[in-house]
Amino acid sequence: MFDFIFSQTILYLTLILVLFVPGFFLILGTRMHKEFSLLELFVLSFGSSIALIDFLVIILGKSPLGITRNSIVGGIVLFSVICLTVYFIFNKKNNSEPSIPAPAISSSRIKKHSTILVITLLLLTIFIKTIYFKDAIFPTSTDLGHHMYWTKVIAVTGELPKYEKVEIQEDFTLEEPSPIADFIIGEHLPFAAIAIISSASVISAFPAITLFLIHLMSVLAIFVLTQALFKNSKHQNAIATATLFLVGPLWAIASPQAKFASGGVIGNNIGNLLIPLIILLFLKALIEKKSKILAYALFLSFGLAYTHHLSTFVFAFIFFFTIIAYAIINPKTLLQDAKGWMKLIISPWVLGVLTAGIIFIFFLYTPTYLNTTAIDTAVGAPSKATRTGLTFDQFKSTAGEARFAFALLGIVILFFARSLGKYNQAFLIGWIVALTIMSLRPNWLFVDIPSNRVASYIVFPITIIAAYALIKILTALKSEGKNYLNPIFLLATFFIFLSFIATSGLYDNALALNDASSANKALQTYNASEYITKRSDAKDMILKDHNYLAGDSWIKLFTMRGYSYPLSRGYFKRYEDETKPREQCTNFMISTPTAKEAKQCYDGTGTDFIMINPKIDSSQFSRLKEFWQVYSADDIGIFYKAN
Amino acid sequence: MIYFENPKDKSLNFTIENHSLSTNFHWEILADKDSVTQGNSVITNGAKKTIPVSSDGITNKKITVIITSDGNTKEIYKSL
Repeated sequence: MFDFIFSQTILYLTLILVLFVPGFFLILGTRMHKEFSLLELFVLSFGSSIALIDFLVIILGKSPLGITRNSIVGGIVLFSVICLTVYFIFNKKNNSEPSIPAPAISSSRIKKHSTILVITLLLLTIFIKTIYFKDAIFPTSTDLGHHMYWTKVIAVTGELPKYEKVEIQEDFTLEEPSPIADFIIGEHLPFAAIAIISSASVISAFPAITLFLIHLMSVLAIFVLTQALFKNSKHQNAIATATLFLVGPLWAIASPQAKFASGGVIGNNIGNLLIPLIILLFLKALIEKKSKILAYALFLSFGLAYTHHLSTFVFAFIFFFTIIAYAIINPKTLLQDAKGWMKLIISPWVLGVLTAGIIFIFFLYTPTYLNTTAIDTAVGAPSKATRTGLTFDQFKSTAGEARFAFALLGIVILFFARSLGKYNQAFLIGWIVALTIMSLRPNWLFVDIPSNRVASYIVFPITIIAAYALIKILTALKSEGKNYLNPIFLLATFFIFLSFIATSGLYDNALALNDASSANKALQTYNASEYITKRSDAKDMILKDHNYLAGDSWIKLFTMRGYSYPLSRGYFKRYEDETKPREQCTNFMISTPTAKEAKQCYDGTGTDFIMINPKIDSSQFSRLKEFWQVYSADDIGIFYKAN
Repeated sequence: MIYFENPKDKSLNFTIENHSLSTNFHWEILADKDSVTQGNSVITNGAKKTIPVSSDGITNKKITVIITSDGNTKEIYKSL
């Protein structure tokens, strides 16, 4: 019991050290803490820490120090001390100089009742998502298994990973390792840092807990961004609170919300936190004309680029469409504004961050996706049916019907809004238009990425605009001193809207809840993995099934003999995909082990252990003399090919 | 669950691991379809027991180990 309490305490302290401390001291050291409200500081500290840890661990990995507990903790402490020292020096300097009146700092003064409402919504959000997580906390998800393998590689070797896979060639043998572009190092470094410092096993709840924390922060990020976007509106707090209502407790579980966290969609999860923060920083920098904040925005953008290629790609389009929206809304002042932008860009802070970023990319560590193969797969005419864009119904369903309905109204109101602020309006329009086109008509933008993945990014801007529309409608019906509706009808309208939205959001939650945990089945897989790891060696080759085994992607965390070890029979439809022909060995060896091709595959790959679900796949082996059933549990069996 | 201690050679020692509430396990060893030996073991939840079985003199037969507990049956086998 004491061990458990101790290990949990160490884990939570490590989470604070890795995910909060560096970012906080960065803001302090650059003296930007006065530019933000407390809540903005809190969320920005978290997001910045993720980026900082990535860069710190990459530097350690490239240095003779290696990636160890001492080097990571030492690096964080050293960085924090430097920032604190700089802060004190400049603080002392400022105290001895004649004081210059500080510019009016924007701070959201939320009234007491609003604060109570916001806190209630946050607690309700955490409560609903925790109900879902109680059955999803056990590490079983496929994506999380793949990511945690690389995290464990970093933790065990103390080195930066080489993202490589091994595939079966046409002559049935295994090829030499080839690079994988789909894994980006920022998805693994923060988890590796936490695992190394706290000694927590990656095959535990900590990855899901960390992702849950990141996800909660992204909800807060949307809240603070909404406050910034509607800073000039007298209903700023109402819109932000309504946004929190629409993104927090409602539609709380379906992708890209809690399900992305439990499903281990790490890059997307972190991207959903960093994108709103980056928009917040760009917005502030441009409105307040502060190059330091612009530099901060660029720094976080680099952090995003090192974390998730899809999120970076999406953000690039958001930025592009924001510029277009700005040009359309402000044609008369465009040239003048552009000169102002250049002034901001050509400043020591911005050029310093840009230079550091370029040096990092070209000389220290280049993200794996920055090669022509990866770029070719993401850019171009959509190559598969799943990449040709969603239908309108699918799009509506992704956004949430009630949110979608209000957002449609909100976009119209937004186009004609005059007092929001030119940058605020441009960012909102650019954000929603970019993602709408990328989701519905990706071919217009030469985007060749699964459309449902892109569409998941629409949730946040749709939520903000829907909240804006909702508050605009309600406040328009009850303007100052005038009631366009009888107060009773106004109240009824409010409750009708609330019911429509809440029903839609809560129904979505109910659909997304799991019926039962797959923990028991996954546990059997892990026991079998321990068994086979102890009783096999690098000369043996294991083939496992992905279709009917729970937690199978985690088997490689037990064997630790390579990302592609064990071999895997994937989803059956992938073997029939004509747009992406693949090897058939992994299918033949399990499905038809007596076929001529299967025998060639067994000989070529050296496969001698098979892990399958005995309820589905044992009959084709039990008739064969050369296969021994050496392990038997309810939902997993192991066969050994004796000759 | 049940498994052979050594899956790759011809040894027949096997282990029963109990992750259920039942504690009584009956095991039987067949050579092809003939029963060679059988026994009972009491294994508490979370515990395991290894049962040594000699493979001396057994050739050209399929050796099957069948475990029964509370109506559930599992088997493992090797062809010697």
